[in-house]
Amino acid sequence: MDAKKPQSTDEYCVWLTTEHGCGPMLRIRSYYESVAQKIKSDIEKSAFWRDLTANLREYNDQYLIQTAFPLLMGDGTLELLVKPFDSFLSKTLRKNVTQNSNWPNPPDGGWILPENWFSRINDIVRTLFVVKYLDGVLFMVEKLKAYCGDCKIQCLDYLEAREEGYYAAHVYARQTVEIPRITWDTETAQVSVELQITTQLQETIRRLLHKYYEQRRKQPTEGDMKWQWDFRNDEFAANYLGHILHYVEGMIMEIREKQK
Amino acid sequence: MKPEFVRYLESIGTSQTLRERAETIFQFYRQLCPEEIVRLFASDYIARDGTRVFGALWFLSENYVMEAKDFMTKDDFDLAPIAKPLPYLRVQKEDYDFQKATDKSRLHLICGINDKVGGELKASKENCDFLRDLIREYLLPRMKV
Repeated sequence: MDAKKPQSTDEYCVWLTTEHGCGPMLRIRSYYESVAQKIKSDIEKSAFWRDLTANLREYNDQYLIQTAFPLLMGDGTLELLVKPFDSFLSKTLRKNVTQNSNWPNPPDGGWILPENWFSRINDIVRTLFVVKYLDGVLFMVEKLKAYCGDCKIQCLDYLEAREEGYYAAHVYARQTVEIPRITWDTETAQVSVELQITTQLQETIRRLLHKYYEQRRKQPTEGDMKWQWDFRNDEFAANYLGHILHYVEGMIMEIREKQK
Repeated sequence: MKPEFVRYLESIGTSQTLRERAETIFQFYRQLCPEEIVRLFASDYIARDGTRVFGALWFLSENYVMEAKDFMTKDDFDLAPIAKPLPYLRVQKEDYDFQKATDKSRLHLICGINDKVGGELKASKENCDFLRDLIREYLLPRMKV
């Protein structure tokens, strides 16, 4: 095994080809995009997705009766999004290389390669629920877990609270989907749908900072100065904004509860 | 609740949770109102963020009007006798030809119920057709002098 650690996406693509025989990147991209679209299409046609969309109205009204406040932003329509190939590749780069503490050996669970990456990367298709209040995040997590249970679908949930000021809940619902192999025969694979739940304020800041996060993820960590001390760096303002908003949302909840 | 009331609430896209709440309120008004409740209307509007909000439930009998305000979150119920003839009616509409509602249709009704009390009913989307029917079939006949 060549222990030279890829330092960029280009080097990573070469590494995938030379070390793992992954074939030309154009072909890999095309394969990824067609399979991801197939996964999206199958999930959109599923009873799980159809009923989930219908259930949102129930969840909203249950929360409204409990709290006297609406749960969800918008008209309750859900959109299933496919992770773009560049973001996807970048994620496999982080898992295989940048954040792989076993390097040059495989990360825990083995290398993430085209033959297994649809099962190993858990947000190839995702949807977002935007709630108005912080307690709505936990409310939705419980509802989604119960719904997955009703559908006999395995799910995992995480309350994300990152040092970088990112706050959201993720529920991963495992779905069985038939997908084409790169050789174009088919296989049955377990893929995850990411059900992301965030608040209106966090979503606003997330949209503003999305590009910044994407760029940052691609860069290897460098320099001795921790971002918490580097007040001239964009990261300082962006990350603390995330934390401040989370705090403000907690305060809004406190005020709301005092009004009861 | 009467099957036609349930069908109406289902047809305007309400949740089971809302319909259960409406059932509770209907049962309450049945005790309060001396007459049979003959019509139901759920007032709704589209909030600025795109959310559809069901704000008030209106129950009507031959001679009484009942409104459950903010019925999803409050127990705030009123009841008023209807004056004959009905003193006032004002209709405001948007993207609505009074024939067939579309998703863009909005209908707003302000009416005098008697010399002391008035009512304000709103409808969006398919609910406009139900408010139109209420105006035509229930309110206008009561305006005849």
